[in-house]
Parts: sequence; structure tokens; C-alpha cells
Amino acid sequence: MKNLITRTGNHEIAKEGEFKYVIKKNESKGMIVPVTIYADENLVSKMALDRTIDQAANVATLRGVMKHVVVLPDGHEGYGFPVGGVAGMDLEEGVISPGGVGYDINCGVRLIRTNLREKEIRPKIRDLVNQLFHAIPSGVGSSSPRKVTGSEMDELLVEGVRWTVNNGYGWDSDIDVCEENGCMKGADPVHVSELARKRGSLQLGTLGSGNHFLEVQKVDKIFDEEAARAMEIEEDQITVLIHCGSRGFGHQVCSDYLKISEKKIRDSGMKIVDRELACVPNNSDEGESYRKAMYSALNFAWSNRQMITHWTRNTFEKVMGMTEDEVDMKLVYDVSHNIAKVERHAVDGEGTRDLVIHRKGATRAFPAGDSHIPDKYRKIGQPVFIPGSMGTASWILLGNTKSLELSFGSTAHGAGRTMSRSAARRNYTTDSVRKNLELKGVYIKALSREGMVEETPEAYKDVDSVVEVSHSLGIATKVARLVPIGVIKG
Amino acid sequence: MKQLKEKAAMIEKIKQDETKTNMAKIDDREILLKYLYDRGDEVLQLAELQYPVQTRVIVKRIVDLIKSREIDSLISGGELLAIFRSVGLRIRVDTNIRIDDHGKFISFGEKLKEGI
Repeated sequence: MKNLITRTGNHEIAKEGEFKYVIKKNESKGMIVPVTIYADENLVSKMALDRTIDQAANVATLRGVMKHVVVLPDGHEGYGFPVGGVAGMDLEEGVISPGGVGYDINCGVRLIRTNLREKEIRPKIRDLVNQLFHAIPSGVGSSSPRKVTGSEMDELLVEGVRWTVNNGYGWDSDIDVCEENGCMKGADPVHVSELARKRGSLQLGTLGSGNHFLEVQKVDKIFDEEAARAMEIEEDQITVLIHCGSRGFGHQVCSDYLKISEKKIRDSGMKIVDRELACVPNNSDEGESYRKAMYSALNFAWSNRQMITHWTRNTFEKVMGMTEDEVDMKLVYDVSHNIAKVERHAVDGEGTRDLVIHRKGATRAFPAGDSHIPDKYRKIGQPVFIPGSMGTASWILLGNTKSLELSFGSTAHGAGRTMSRSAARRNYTTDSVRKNLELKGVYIKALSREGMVEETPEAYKDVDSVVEVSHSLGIATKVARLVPIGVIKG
Repeated sequence: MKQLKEKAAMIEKIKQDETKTNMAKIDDREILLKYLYDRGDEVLQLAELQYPVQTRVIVKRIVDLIKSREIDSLISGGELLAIFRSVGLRIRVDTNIRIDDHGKFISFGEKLKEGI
């Protein structure tokens, strides 16, 4: 393969390994560090067709960026930063960027295991999916049956999942198996706007729209017996994957701080190559404020997924006519995809140092032994979930040692779009998507026609090839493949 | 009158059941369920889903009142909902608006279509 040129023609992408591509540091273009892309030929070619790699090169110009900017195999263009990107900024000298986290702060996934097998679920799948759809509000602007008062909101934003569990929506054991135990310390609701609070007060426990979904799946194949045992996963078992984020609350936090960042840039005269990369110095007052507000949104999103988990458990018990103990819907793990937080990483020739790691459409994938992993998984490594598009497989992976060396302890977060939403609407119809899914044995209940058509599996890259890259590089390795049998969507 | 008789019979039956079980420990929720009618069970289920911790406290308090005979009549869904609302818990209940149209109940949507 000859070297690729990015869409703007500004950067040349050189192949350095089977799954590794690099844009060398180019000081004339303002780049402080190189860009490393982990992908196969097909995936990197698709990235070169849009702004993905140019955006990564832009990130490499930001003040305090360290080591390299990483693009993961599911990378695609986003707002300022590419989705599927990771960047580490120096804690003292670097910046923090709302666009580097994204609008849906702590969009993430959690996996729940059950004691059920496919043959028990199949006859009831329509009823189950319909009841889940009824119990869990979905769609743009959907509101929760559980309105959160002002004082409850303050507690929730500080305590995260602990607040939700203390109020009866889940089990104590759920807290242990969330990234950061479902509570980012340092959140401060004082830095959250009234509008964000208002939007959030009506949306706790709602799925939302876009690519968010709740999927009833079966375990198709196990690749790592030891890890699967630790996660209590077996072949043919039914699992539930919940994919959603901080809803209007997080969106508002991001919008508010993008405006503040843009103003700060104008006032300070700081030069950035793309307006969408609006950012503020990490140690400035504005940086501090954004971090506290963003941490509040992280806690909101973990609570949101926790509330949905509670209603999912309840619906399963009702439809299956079983008790809580009989269904035994334990949370396997909950991981964030859109986040920025301080982590300690090795930087070439400097030992380790504290960096503000921005993961936008990327999953933390820490290896065995890391103190941030719950006791239950510390011997094997951190569970990682890579959801495919609806109708295609999802994966359970395990964080591996190479992730620290190659990608700031991160791996991919999904399949990644390859077709715009409008193109999907032009090329597919609700009936064709529904029929196609039903042929695969997947029953879907969606609120809107657009929601279903825009998320057609053909609009996404092949999740299996994304996972193959991660596995082959040893960033995060395969544990199990899951296939859907029922989906609810906004 | 017929409804009142039915209610009285139900209360009598509950009292007999209570005597039978005598000292046997019955879950507060089970006791309350026997006193609920007219979508009362549905309101209780929704309250448990939407406010699990608070509902447990309220159920215990209502059952205490039942045991002390301060509540000695059945509780309708509407009344239970009013109890929750009185302490600030706004339970969301699925509601259908049906209109009495010449002796026949029709949905609000159908009524609007008729108007068109």
C-alpha cells in the first residue's frame, strides 16, 4: 500500500506495521507530537476519506499535548476532535477541551448478565422488548417518570451511582463494577448552569435517541474461558447491553463550556487551528470550572444507566415470572466512552507523569493488576465492551498490557459510522431495515422511523474488524462475542 | 349499595384471613395489597418502580394504620395516589381519557375525529 494523503492533502499517512499508521510530527504545520492510527488497510482508507485524520493532526497542535495523538480503529470525524481519538495533555501546561470529550459526556455502555438461556427468552422476546420499551423512556427529549428535585440533583451530581443505589434503584454490588465506582470525585454542581439542571431533572433513567439503545443479546462464542468465568458469562446465555449517556444535561454542559472556551480563546489571543478545538488552559479558572461541571455530568450519566438497569431488571422479572434471585441480573461492568480525567502514564524518555487524558469515543482498557480495576477483575484485566450497530455483534474484550504502551490505556468504543445519517435515510426504508433484522432473528421496537433507518447496520463499519485490530495489537483482547435478539431504540 | 356490600364482604374476608394467620409474619406489602382496589395495585407497583425507598416507608406507615384500625376501609388507586402526592411524590400513571358519548365510552382521539 502506498502512503495515503489525508482529505485536505495536508498530511501524509505512513504505514509502520500491519495495524499501525503514523503521521510524523510536522512543526511547519504546528504539530507538537505525531499521530498514531491503529487500523487495518480498509479502516484507515475510510478514515482518509473524511476529516478524521486531519482532525487528529489538528489535536496534535494543542498546547501541552504529549507523546502522540491516537486514532483507534473505529475512528471517524467528530466535533473538533475525531471520535475514536485519545489525547493526553500535560496537567500543568496543557489544555482541557469540551470538544475533546464531546457533547454526550460519559456516553458509555454497561453489560448485565442473566441466568437465562435463549430457549427461555425466544418465545417471550416480543413481549419482553415491548415491555422494556414501555418501562424505559426513549427518544429525543423523552422524560422520566422520576422527576429529580433540586436538592436531589445536587446529591446525585456529587455522589453518582451511590445516590441512585441508596434511593433503591439497584444493588450495592453495582457500585463496585463501574469505572470510578460510578462516582467521579471532584464534581461540583455549582459550576453547572440552571438550564442544564432543568434539562437533567426530567431525564434521569431515559435512553435518548441517536445511536443509543438497549439490546437483549445471547452469548454467541467464548474466546477467553478464564475471563468469561470471572465475568460469569457462558455460551448461549442471555445478556443485556445498555448504551446511553448524560442526555440533555451533558449536552448543555458541553454547549455552555464551548461558549466559555471560545470567549477565552478570543480574549487571550491563543491560536488554534480549528475553531471547534476550543479549549482552555487546564489550570485556569475556566478549566477548573469545566472539569467540575463535566465530572457532574459523568456522575449524571452513570446514574442514568443505573436507573435504566433497575427498570430493566424489574421488567425481566415481571415478563419471565421469576424472582430477582432467579434471574440474577448482575452488572458485569460499566465503561465510559466520552471522558477526560487525570491519569498517570509513561511518556517517552520521561518516566510517568500526570496527564489529562481525553477519550472521545474511546474506552479505557487497563491491564491486569491496575489499582483502578475492581478486585473482582484485577487478576484478569478490565472488561471492555464494544457495541456493534443494531443487528450486528457486540464484543466483550479485556484490557491488556499493550494498551498502556500504545494508546494511553485505551481501545475502540464501537463500530464507527461509515455513512451519514442523511445518506442512510436516502438509501434505506423502515420496512427494509425491519425485515433485514427480522431475517437475522432480531425483534426491534423503535420510537421513530428515522431512529431505525439512520442506525441501519449498513451505516456502520464492520465491528468484527475493529475488534480484530485491537486484539491483534494486544490493546484489548477477545473474551466473548454477543449477538442481538431484541433491541429498543429512541 | 351493591359496591358497599362488596367492600364490606371483602373487609370481613380480610379480617378472617388475618385471624387465620394470626401470629404468622406477613409482609407489609402483602397486607396492603389486600386493602387495595380499583387500580390500587397498579399505583403501588408504579410507586415502587419510581420511588422504591420512599414507597417502602409509606407502605409500612399505611400498614401500621391498618393494623391499629385507623384505616378500616379499602383504598382505591386514586386514594393511594393522593397519599403519595400529599407527601410530594408525583407518581406518573398511564392514563386514558375516555368520554361518555351517548352511553358509550370512546377515546379522546375518537371524539376529536368525530368533531372533524
